[in-house]
Amino acid sequence: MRHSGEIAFAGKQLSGAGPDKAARSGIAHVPEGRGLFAELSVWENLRMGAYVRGERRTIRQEAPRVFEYFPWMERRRNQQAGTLSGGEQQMLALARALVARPRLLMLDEPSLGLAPTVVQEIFRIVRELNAEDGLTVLVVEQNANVALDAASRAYVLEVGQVAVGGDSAELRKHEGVRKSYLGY
Amino acid sequence: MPLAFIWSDFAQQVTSGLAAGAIYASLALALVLIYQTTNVVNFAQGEMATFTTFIAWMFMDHGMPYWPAFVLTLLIAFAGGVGVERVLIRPIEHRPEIVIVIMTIGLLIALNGLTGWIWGPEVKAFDSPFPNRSVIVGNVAISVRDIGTFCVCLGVVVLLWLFFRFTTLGLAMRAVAFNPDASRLMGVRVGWMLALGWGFAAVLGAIAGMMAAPTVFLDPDMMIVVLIYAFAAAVLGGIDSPIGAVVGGLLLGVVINLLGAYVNFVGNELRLPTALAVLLLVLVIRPTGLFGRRVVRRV
Amino acid sequence: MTRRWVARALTALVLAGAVVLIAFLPRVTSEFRLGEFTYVAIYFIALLGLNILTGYNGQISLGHAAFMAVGGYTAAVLILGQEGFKLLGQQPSDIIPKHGMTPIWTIPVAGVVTGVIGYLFGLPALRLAGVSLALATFAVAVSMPSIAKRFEHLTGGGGGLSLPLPKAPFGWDISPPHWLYYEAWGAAGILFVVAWLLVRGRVGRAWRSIRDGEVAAVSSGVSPAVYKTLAFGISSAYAGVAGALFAIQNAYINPDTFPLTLSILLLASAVIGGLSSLSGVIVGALVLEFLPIYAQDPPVLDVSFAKQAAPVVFGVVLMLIVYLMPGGAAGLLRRLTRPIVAAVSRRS
Repeated sequence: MRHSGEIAFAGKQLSGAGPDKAARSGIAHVPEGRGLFAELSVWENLRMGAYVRGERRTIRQEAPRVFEYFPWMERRRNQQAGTLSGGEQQMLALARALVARPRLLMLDEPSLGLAPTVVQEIFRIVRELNAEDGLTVLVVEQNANVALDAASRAYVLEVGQVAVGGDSAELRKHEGVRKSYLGY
Repeated sequence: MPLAFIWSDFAQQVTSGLAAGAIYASLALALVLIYQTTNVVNFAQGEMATFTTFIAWMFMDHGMPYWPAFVLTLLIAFAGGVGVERVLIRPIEHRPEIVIVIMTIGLLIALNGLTGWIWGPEVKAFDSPFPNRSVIVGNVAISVRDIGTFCVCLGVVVLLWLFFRFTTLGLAMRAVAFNPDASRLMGVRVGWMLALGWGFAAVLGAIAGMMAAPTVFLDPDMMIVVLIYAFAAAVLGGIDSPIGAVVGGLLLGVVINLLGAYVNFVGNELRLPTALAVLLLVLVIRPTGLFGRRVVRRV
Repeated sequence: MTRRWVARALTALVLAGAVVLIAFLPRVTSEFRLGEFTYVAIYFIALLGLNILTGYNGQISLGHAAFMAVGGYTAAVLILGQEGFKLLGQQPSDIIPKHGMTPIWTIPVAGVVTGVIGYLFGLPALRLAGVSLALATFAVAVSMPSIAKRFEHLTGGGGGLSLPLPKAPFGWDISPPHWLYYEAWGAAGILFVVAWLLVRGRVGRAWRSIRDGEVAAVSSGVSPAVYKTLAFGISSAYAGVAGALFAIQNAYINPDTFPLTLSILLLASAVIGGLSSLSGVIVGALVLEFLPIYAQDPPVLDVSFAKQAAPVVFGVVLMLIVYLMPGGAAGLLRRLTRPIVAAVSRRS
């Protein structure tokens, strides 16, 4: 498989860098399947989120904010992450990413395996983070409806190429997008 | 009268079994530490321990007092463990496990030969920091050396536990053991965490070696049998469970001592085969070991 | 000519050359050297067995020498018989036959006995995988000397058993070293063909499929239990034959004749020669016999190293092979001859 081009973030070259280097550059990646430490507790997962910025001090500063968004995490901080429900796990993965105060948050298939109400809730929180904190969010999503509602810009990828791209409100009206992804 | 006599004899066997078991537990924990992070069984763990014990002997032979030599050896062992991981294991870490295992077997062969080459095959005496007396508790005579060995080994195990439980680095190492890919996303330099794991394992091995040497005497093959007992303990406890390694080690130490003392058939020579038979029996009944989570078989 | 044809022709040529070499070697070397090459044949047989188990079937064995010990002791005990024991001043057990057997017949018997024991070991071994199996075989290798010492009436205990120097059977007029050489290589040749037939047939395919993925193998209808225990049985049988020949060649056997070191070095030699390849086995056998000798006294240099130089060199070579040539010598050979085969088939 050949590849070309480059990846740059905030002026820095990231082509070929490992995921840990990307994390240290201020990118938080919530992978498909959440990537939680199932055997560790909720609190320990959050602590790991703070690792990249110096765990001890960061977690003390950021925990209150996280608990504001997700109050249940404070009550159940010692629960093993693997025993949480699907929606709770996604929220924990999100919270863990936020603890590092990233400049860019990447969410890979956040709606996978979740009930519609849960998905709505998660995207509501993401929109709030984007609006209030100015956090840049990049979402890879199969659920076009929810994604187009939340995002300001969207791109449709086909076989590794950008097929359509632009303002999401306009994309909603695009015929190809409507037929293939929105079902009408 | 006979009952009291038997009881004190039994208690003595148990306490010396616990001391031996503490040594097995240390080495078993080293094996599990490496297995948990690198998914590799380090066959050279015993020889690394022997090599570092010889280094300690060399220091003391040149006049260094015991505890400074002890600490210095631990530092060297740590550096050695990190070095082995970075230099030997890292370049092949993506290859199948059997390949890495064979690499450790190569290290085993080479280190065993090197130890003999540098220091010669003759058996050497190794000092113990604990006096060779016994303390009378009740009417049981317990060797001070056994108490000391038990305390040192388990003390280090407790220290390690505290480290993993309460420090950032310890948390990161645990995270790497559970999910290296997610750890990378958190900014953890996974490679160095693995190296640290090998460093700690080497330290545990060095302690096991230095505690064993006064009793079994120091020669290049000293740790081969201990390694097997440590393996057995690790597998018995569950190859991916640190608690299992410690419990397994202590249990094995006690059981073997009791079998050796009370079962005539076993006597002194058949201890190892008997331990093996017991281990195989446990594995057939419960393949994941006492505390193990994953099935050892990778499907 | 297709590549396959050329490759086959080349292999046949090489094999024929090897046979000629082996047959004529005694004419050009001293009797001492001949003894060394006899050991090469013995290791060759042992390594064929180990390759079957670990290379083709994926079951790591660090206890191969222990099975050699079983074969060696079986042969020794049968050669001596109860009368031989008594001549040595040992007390024999009652299950030993009263009179000794001709050495040559003890070899297949040793093979069968060891094979059965290996098969029986393979049954509980089914429950163990990877790590645990390596550990179990490692422990067996360490335990074997103690077990041999313990059961004195079967093994002659720590003192060991001295065997009479073998004469060529059927009244043939060959000197013992020559006879032993041909006997060993004859056995090696037969067992090589057997191994080759097994490996390229249905059994070999089953073994490989289990090694590469047991779940997939099961879903293809291959029964792991049957083939894994079979692999253990056959590889142990090979080890038994090798052990028997070793005892006869050595004319002596005691509990330390087949130590843990040998088990480990056997695995190392198998890797150096190339696991899952029958052609590399000869390299492994040569390495096992000659590396310790040349590591201690290198041929050109005028120095002599300590005995421990041998394991150091062995270990380093093994690590280098793992790094650079994981396919071992056989893998290297394959890579080197591929362009030759391609060139020849292109030209015709």
